[in-house]
Amino acid sequence: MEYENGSGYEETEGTSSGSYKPSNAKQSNMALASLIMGILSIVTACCCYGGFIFGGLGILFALLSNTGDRMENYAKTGLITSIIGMVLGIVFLILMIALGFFTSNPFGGDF
Amino acid sequence: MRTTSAELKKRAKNTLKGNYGLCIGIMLLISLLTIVIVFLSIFGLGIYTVITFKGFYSTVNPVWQMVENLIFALVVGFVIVAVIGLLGVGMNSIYMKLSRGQSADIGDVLYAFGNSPLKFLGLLFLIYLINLLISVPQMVVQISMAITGNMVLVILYILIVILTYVGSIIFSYSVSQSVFILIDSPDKGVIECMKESFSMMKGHKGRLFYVNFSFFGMVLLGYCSMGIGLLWVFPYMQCTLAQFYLDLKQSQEPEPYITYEAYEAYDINRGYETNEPSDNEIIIENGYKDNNNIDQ
Repeated sequence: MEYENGSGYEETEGTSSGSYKPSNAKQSNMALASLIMGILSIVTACCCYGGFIFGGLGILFALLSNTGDRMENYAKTGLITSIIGMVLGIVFLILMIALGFFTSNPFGGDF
Repeated sequence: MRTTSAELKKRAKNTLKGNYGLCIGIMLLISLLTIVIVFLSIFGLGIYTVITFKGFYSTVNPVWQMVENLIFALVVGFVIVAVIGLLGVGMNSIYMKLSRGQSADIGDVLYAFGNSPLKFLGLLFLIYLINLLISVPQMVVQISMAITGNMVLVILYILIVILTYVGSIIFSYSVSQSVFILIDSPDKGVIECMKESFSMMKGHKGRLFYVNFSFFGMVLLGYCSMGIGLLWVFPYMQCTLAQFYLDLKQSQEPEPYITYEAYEAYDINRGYETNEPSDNEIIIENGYKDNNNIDQ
């Protein structure tokens, strides 16, 4: 069983003053998938339930990749973007229903 | 110190990392097999109907035809349940192997077919039968309600439904480990497995209920994604249950005992100091290291 490192700090060799940069330690596939799903959910939030589907998947992958003590960078970003995508999806849904009431035929159709 | 549900889930996530392909593939395989069996059986029923067709105005007894169809449905249903049950046992054996750190293969799905399939079938059938028996009072009250239409029976019906539900949950939790026990040692008898599961789950049923209940959020996420997410959630749930069994089994193992070499190292006449080279750790026979440092 391998344990993936969360986001770690890399110290350059030989320096004792601790110059570090936040590094992208090896991110697991699932965290990457969560990130992709999060981006897709924001992009497709206006399409039919796109925000829900990809957002749900993104949150799920982010939670499932949370194996260690800390969440990986990609997973955190994926989680946030997926939540934004789901919220946008809800907002678009409400908007569509609300705006529909202002048209001449709120239930659709020709007449 | 009881292992929390969060710890079990963390172990399950670690176990499944990189193995989702295998687990999801097996799930889809089982579903596909079910669909194929149903399709073939309907096809076979259609062919049988065509072969035995006696004309639109034949005087075949309609009751006999209904009975024929019922027998056919029962047989096909039994075959499907048997196949799914046995493949499910294989799936559980894969999760147990993965949780123990061993590598598992797709061929392990057929575990139950190689190791006494009749025993596994008997166990599943027995559990189903007892669940059916538990729900008999409810059926009796339901039928009598339909026949008599008495309003007092409604209150009795509500009570009986609640009792049946609680009773069947308690029973199914008590018996839930029996499949795992039978997978670990296929030479045990069916009733012995159920009894062992009963004794294992004494006092732990609440934990199992909590673990099952805490999957609600994940399942909701699975439904949000129109069921695609459930492909990942289901292996996660099954793996957590397998981890629950392994953790329960380990916590109830008999106390490890100290071997003869350790007694030699600790000589009460010489006091606490010994000159043995490996003093710091006493290796206990079944592989656990005793870090309590008895002879220091």
